Amino acid sequence: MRRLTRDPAELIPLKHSTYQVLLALGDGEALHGYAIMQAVSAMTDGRETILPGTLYAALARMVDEGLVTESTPKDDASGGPARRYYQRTTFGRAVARAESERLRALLEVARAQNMFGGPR
Amino acid sequence: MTRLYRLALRAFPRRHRDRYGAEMIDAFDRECAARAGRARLSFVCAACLNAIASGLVERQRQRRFRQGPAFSALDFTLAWRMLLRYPGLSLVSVLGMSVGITIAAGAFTIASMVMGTTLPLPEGDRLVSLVNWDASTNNRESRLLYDLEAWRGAASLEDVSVSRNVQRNLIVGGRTPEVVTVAEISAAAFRAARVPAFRGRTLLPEDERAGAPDAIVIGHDEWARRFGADPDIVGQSVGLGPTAYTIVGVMPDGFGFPTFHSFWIPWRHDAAAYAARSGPSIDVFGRLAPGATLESAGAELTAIGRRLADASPATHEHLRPLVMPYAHAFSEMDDPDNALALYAVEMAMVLLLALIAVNVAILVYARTATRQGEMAVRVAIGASRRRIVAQLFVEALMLAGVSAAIGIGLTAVGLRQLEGAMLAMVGRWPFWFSLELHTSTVLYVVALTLCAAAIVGVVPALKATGRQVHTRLQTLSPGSGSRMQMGRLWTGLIVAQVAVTVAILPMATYFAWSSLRLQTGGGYATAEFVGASLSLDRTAAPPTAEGERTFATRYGGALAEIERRLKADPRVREVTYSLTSPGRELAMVLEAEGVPAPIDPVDYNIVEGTKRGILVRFNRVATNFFSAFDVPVSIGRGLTAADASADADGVTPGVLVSRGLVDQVFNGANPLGRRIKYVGRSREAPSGNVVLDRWYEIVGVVPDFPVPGTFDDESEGRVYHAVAGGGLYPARLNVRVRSGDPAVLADPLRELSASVDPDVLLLDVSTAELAFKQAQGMMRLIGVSLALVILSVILLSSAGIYSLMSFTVARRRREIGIRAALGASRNRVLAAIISRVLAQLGAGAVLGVVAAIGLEQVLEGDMVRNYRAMLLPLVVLLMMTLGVIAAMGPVRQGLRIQPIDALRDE
Repeated sequence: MRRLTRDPAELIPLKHSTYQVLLALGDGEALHGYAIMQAVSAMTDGRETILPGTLYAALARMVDEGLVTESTPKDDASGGPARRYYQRTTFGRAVARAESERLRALLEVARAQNMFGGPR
Repeated sequence: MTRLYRLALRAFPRRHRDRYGAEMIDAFDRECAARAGRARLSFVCAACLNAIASGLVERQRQRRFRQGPAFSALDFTLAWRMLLRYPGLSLVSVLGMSVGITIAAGAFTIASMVMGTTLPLPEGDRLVSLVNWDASTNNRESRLLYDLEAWRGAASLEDVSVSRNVQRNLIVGGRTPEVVTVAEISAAAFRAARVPAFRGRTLLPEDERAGAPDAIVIGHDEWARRFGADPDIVGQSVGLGPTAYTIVGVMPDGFGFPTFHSFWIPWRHDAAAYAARSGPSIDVFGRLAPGATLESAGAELTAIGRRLADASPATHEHLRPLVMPYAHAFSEMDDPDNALALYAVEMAMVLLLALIAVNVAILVYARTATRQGEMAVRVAIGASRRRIVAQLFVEALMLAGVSAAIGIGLTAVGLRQLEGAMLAMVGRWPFWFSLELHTSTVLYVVALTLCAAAIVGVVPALKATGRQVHTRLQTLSPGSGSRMQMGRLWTGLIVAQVAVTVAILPMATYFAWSSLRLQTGGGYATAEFVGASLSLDRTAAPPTAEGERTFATRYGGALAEIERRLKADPRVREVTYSLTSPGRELAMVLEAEGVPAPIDPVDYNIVEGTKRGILVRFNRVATNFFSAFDVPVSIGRGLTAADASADADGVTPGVLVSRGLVDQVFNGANPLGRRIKYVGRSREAPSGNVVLDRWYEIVGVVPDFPVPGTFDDESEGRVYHAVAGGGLYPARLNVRVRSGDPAVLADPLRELSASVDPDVLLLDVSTAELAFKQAQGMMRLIGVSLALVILSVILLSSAGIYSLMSFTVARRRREIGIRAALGASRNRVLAAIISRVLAQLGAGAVLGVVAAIGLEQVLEGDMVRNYRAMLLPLVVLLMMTLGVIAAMGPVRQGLRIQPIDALRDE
C-alpha cells in the first residue's frame, strides 16, 4: 500500500498539469475528466488548457500518489461513457498549498525586481 | 478525427487505454465539436501528439511501478531455503568457492603487504629509499658511501640517512653471549622516522663524532625481554663484542626502523674516505621535503647521478639512482620483474576463482533448468525478467556469501600459519609486515563475492529467462524434461574449463607433489649434527691490505682453536667446515670442456660473467667433510690438502662433483679427468669464494647429498672444492655428536667461541634436523594449499560434467524413447548420449595440451623435456576418465527410460 501521509515537500515542485488539476478540483464536489478540462480553462479565462492525453495521464499518476481519489457513481446522468469522478484529497490540498507557497516565493522575487506592470 | 485520436491513444499502455480510453475519446470529441475550421485542426494535431507523448511517458511509469524494487527481503529467505534444499550442490559450490576466495584473499594480502608504500610511522608515506640501479647487470649497487654525500645535497629530500646491519655478540651481565643484528645508523634516521624515544633519547649527531662515548638505543621488546623492563635502564651498559656501550634510550613498542631492528648504534664512517663503488653495503633513505614528490625527487637524483657519471664514468656510467617508496627497496619492488610477477600471481588467483565460479554457474544453470515451470508461472502472473534475475542473483549471492564467510575464516587461519612459518624461517621481518586480515582484504573479498555471484547467478538467470520463457508455460507437464538449451555458451565454457584444467593441472600437481614429498631426513644422520655460521666482527679491522691480513690471521687462528677445543670434547665425534650447510649450496654458471653450452641462457640472477652455460651449485668444504657426513666417494678419490692449496701452487685444483652433475653435464659418462670452469656468478655466491674462468679438474664423484627430495632446488648438480679452515669466511661449522641431542651443544658452543675470541660471531646455531623441518614447513604449506586447489578444481569439473550430462539426457528423453521403441541397441543409444560429452572433453583436452606446451615455453620450464612430461597425458587421461565417470550416472538413467514412458510424458 502506498503511504498517503507523506511530506508534501517530497512532491514539490509539481508538474504544471498536476498543479492545474489540483486547483481545478478545488474543495467542492467531485468532477469527471472533461469537467476538469473545462474548469482549467474557466479558471484561467481560457488562457490555459489541458489536453485529454496529459489530463488522464496526470489523473492516473495523482491517484497513485494519493493526491486525488477516484470514484464511479452508479447514477451518472452526465451522458456519454461511464465516467470516473475525481476529488482532491487532504494530502492533495497540502501539496497544492506547498506548491503555491513555492511559487509565491518566486513571485516575491519577481515583484522585488519590479516584474509586474509599470515600464518594462 | 476520432479514429486518428484512437490510433494515437495506442501509445498508452493497454491498462490505461482500457481504463480511461472511452473518457478520453469522449473528451476529445466534445472539444472537437466545440471548435471549427483551423482551430479544430490544430486542436486535433495537438491532442494526437500530446496523446502519443503522454502515452509513452505513462508506459514507462507503469513499467517502473509494476516492477517495483529489484530486491526484497523475501529473496534472501528463499535463497537460504534453496541453499538447504540442494545440499549436494551447495556443498560442492561452497567448498570450491571458499577455497578460491581464500587463495585470492591470501594472495591479495601478501601482495598488499609487499607492495605497501606506507609505513606505520608519522607521515609514513613520505619516507623514501634511495638506491643505485646498475643497468649493465640489472642489479642494485649497494656500496653507496661515495654517492651519499651528493645525495644529501638534494633539495627535494631531507634527513637523508644511512644504515647497515652488523652482527655483534651481545653480552649482558655474565650471560652467554648471543649474536644480535645491530643497526649502525645515522642520527638523522630518527628524525626521518619522527618517533621519539620511549625512555631516554634517540641517537644524536654528537654520538656520531669519533671519540664520543659509545651509545646504544634498544628496542622495547629487548628492554622487556633482557632487562625485565627496568625503569632505570638508561645509563646502564651492555657489551657488543669487546666494546661496552651505554644505553641512552629505549624506543617505543613496535618500532623496528629501519627494518626489524631492536639495537641502534651511531654511524661513524667517514663517507669521504671511500672511493666510488667501494666500502660496505648500506641502505640509504630519507624523507621527501615539503612540497616534493617521488617524481621531483627522482628527477633531482637522476640529475645528480648524471653529474657523478660525468665525473667518474668508469664506475658510474651504468648507475641509475632511483627514489622509491621506502618499503619497496626492502621487498625488492624496484625490480620490475618482481612487481610484475606479484601482479601475475594475484591475477592468476582471481582467474582461479573465476574458473571455479564458472563451474558453479554450470551447476546452478542445470538446477535452474529444473525450475523452468516456476519461472514460467511467475512470468505469467506478472513478474518481470528483472525480478527473476534478481532472485537468482540473490540465490547465487547466498552461495557466494557463505563461501566468502568461510573463505575469510580460512584466510585468517592460513595467514597466521603462513606468518608463523615465515617467521620461523627468517627469524624477523620488516616491522611494517603483518599478515593479518585487514579491512582492505575484507572489502576485496566482498568485491570478489559480488563478481562470483554475478557469474554464478546472473549469467544462468539471463540464459534461463530469455524470450522463450513465455512459451514454456504451455509446454509444461510433469516429467516432460527440460526445454532449456545447453547452448553454445555452456559448451564453450565446458571446453574452456577442461582446457584450462589440462593446461594448469600438470604444473600445479608437479609443484604440489614436489613440495609434499620432501623428506625430512636429508639422507644422512641429521639427528647427530648441530651447525653454526662462524664469522668475526671486522668493524675494528682497517680497510687496508695490512688490516685484511691481520684479520685473516686472527680469524684463521680462532677457527683452528675452536676446532681443536671442540674435538677435545668427549661428546663430539667429528668437526668439519663448509661454506654452506648441505643442501644450501650456491648457484653458479658452469662450462665443461668439450660440452657445448645449452642454447638457452640460465634463468637465474647472475650478476657477473655470462648466463650462457649450465646452472650448478657449489660448496667449499674441509677435506674431512664427506667422511664426517659418512658420504663415500663413489669414483676417483676424495679431496686432499693439496687440492686446497693448489690455487697458490699454480696447479689445476681437483674438485668433486655429485652424481647429479655427472648426469646433468656428462650424460652419465665417466667425468674423471674432465675439466670444468665457472663462467657466471649468481648474486648469492660471495665473490671472494669463487673465481671465474679458472679450470678445475674432476677427481672424484660423490652421491647426491643431501639425497634428492630434501630441498626444492634438487635439479642442479653440485661441485665441491677443498678449502683449508681459515680460507672460508664466513664458515659453516658442522659438529657431529657421538650420541644424544646435538642441541645441547648450542650453548657450550657459544661460550667456547666467545672465550676463544669475544669478536667471534656464531649465527644460525641450529640442528640439521630443525633446519630441514623449517625449510620444509613452508613448502608443505604451499603444497597443501595447491593440493586443496587441485582437488576443488577436479571436484567442480566433475560436478560440471555431471550436470551437463544430466541436462543432455533430460533434454533428449523423448528422442531416447523413440530410438528405444524403434529397436535401437543399448550401445547405439549409449554412443549417441555420450558422444557429445566425449567431443567436448576431447576438444578441451586438445586445447589444454596446446596451452600447456605454450605455457611451458613461456615459462621456460622443462616439464615437457623430462620425466614430468608423463604428467600431461596423465592429466588428460584423468580428466577424460572423470568426465566419463561423471557422465555415467545420467547415461544409465537415460538407458533406463522406457519408450512408453517417454512418449506418454510428451
